[in-house]
Amino acid sequence: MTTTLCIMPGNKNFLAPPINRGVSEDAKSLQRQFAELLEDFTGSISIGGHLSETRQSLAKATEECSTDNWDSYGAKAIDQNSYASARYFSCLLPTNIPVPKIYVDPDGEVTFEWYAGPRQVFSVSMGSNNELIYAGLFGANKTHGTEYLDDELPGTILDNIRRAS
Amino acid sequence: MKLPDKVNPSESLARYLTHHSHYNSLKNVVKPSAFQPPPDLHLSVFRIDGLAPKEVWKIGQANVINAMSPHGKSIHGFADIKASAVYETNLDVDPDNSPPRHANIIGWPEGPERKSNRKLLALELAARATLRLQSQIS
Repeated sequence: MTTTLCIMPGNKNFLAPPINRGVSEDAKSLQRQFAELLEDFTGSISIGGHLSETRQSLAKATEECSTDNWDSYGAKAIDQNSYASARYFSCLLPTNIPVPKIYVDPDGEVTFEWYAGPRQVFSVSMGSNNELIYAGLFGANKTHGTEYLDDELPGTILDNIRRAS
Repeated sequence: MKLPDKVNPSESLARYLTHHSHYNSLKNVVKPSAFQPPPDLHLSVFRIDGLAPKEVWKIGQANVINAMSPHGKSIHGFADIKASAVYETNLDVDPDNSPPRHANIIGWPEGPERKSNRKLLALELAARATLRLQSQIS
């Protein structure tokens, strides 16, 4: 059953919470309960290992890039909105793809990268207004563009992750 | 050695690597993050033709690390890239010579989709660069 849950078809990770647009006390309570549930699952190696590893990578990048000029070239410190998007994005990732590397761009935005080689790489940054700004190189083919973060991982993003994996 | 005013396509440029996210030593590759442009869109490089490897190293330590973050950091290495690779991606090299041998990669895209365009250029530049680590330099 665990395996079935982890390898859900399509774009869904069962750990992905729906975006909560509710403002009532009930909605807030549900959100809190889901967050607690998520924390329980990330403690499980079989179910939450992928998410846990991704979150650790995010935490490391956050720590290293928490002040301006972390790269000695004048980079901005990690952007907190981008960080929040990155946490949500990490929940959307299916567990049957490789764990991404996570970096902070010089503009402070968090980037997830799948890198198999110099010409087999896909990178997506957590931009403002829920933008997912991506670029990829796949041999002689290349792609770039913008998608938007919602309840599901956009198909374009998932397809490109698979191309680079 | 007197360098020409304009950067020749055959010239080698060094992009100093100051963070572990800039390279992968196991795969011996430069990562795209090394070429992500900074907020001012002037990606700092140095012209290294005619320099011995140790001189290349010294320039980076003196002009990047010591100048920008004097807190005991060190250069990890540099990305060695031909100016021709920069020109082929429709970017330009502006040799301001301040400090000596310094130049900037400029001409990053503006307008809609600018960030995704810039990301793609960073991927292309990294794919064409060669990793030179400190251990190989000294």
